[in-house]
Amino acid sequence: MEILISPTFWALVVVVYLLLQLRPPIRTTLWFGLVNSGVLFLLLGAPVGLALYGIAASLWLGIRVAVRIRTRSGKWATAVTAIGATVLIGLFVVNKLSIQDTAFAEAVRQWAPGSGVWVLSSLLALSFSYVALRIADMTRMVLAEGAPLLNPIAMVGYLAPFHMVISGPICPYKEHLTLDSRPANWPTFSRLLRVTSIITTGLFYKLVIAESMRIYATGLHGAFVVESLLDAGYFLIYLYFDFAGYSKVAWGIGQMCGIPTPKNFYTPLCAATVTDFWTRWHASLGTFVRSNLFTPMQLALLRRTRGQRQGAIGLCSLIVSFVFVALWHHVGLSILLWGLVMGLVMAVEKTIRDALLRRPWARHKAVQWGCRLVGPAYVFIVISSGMLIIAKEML
Amino acid sequence: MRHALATEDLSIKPRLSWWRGALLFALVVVKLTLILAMRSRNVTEFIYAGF
Repeated sequence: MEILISPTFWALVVVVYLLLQLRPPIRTTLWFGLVNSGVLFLLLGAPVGLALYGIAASLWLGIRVAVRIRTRSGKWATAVTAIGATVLIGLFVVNKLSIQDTAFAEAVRQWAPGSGVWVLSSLLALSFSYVALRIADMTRMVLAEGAPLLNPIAMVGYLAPFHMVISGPICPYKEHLTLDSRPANWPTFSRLLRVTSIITTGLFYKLVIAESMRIYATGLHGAFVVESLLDAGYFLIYLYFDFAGYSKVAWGIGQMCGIPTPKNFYTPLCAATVTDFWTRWHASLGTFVRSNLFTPMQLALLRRTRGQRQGAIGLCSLIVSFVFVALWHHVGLSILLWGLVMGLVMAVEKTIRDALLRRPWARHKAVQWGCRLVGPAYVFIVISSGMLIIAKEML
Repeated sequence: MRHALATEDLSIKPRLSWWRGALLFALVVVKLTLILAMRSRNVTEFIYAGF
């Protein structure tokens, strides 16, 4: 939160905005990468900034090699992709454990006393686990869809944009590439007013509503305790204003500077089903999981079974996707259980919806209005109950 | 997919009319005042005391 009330951060936002207006005769992705690097070095320090460059350079090299091998031999390409994916998953798990267990950080220092600082700073850079997800999206887009690969400087602008460094959102790689073809982002009074309104609304959500709720419940420096369904409901509302507020600020800065930035929240507490809730809450993560895990897995399984057992494949893909979302947030048993429960609830909802679609009375307006009225209460109870499962491990 | 494009572009929105602009500006001022007020210890202690 400190960064959002820091005058330095807002001064840097204005500087970035002005520098991006200059539009020198180079690609905008590269120019944004250069400007962004300066901001990252100032905000996060040289070790993290250099570690990000190290990661981007290694990735650039790795992907170039993979592309070259793929054009020569299909078998090698599969092997290289599998090794790459295993290394990425390994890094991600090690990194997750390193955040949760400080003993791991100590072990790294003892294991490699000379290079410990660099190993740790690399892990710290990757510990913005949004970086790991952006790496996965970019790698898939380049290797599977043939999208152009950004050079390491421009790549840092995609992997760690300064305004999305704290808590995402995840911009799809192909949308970041549209930066090069976007027209000049000339300021107008209407545009500036709209952007200021978005940013101040985000700050209002986070610093006034969420902060008041936190102070009221826990005191000035206390921590949340979730022991009942009521506590979980209160915490869910707090979390919405906190996370949606931050996402609005990031979205507003993206709009101001003309950098593709997803909106991330679409009034999730008004959703009538849990499935709908997860397309509105943290929507950029939903989009990532859908395009990188759910759809490819479903298509691969359907091809293997030659289109049979569609229902079972859909349910299986849904549950695996949600288990991934759970483990991405935290490595632990209760969150794994939460992922399974959410996946199952969505699978049940899908089954009921498919069955109801065949019934003519289910399309009646009165029934649909009833669902819209009762749905949000049902969603609120289910999501709050989920909070109750994970609260002890996460808070 | 719920949204065809994950990112939205405000530049395609039409210009604000003068009264909408004035309303939005007033709201921005109110929000900024409240955000700055939250930095005061008196306000946070008032909230902690239960309004």
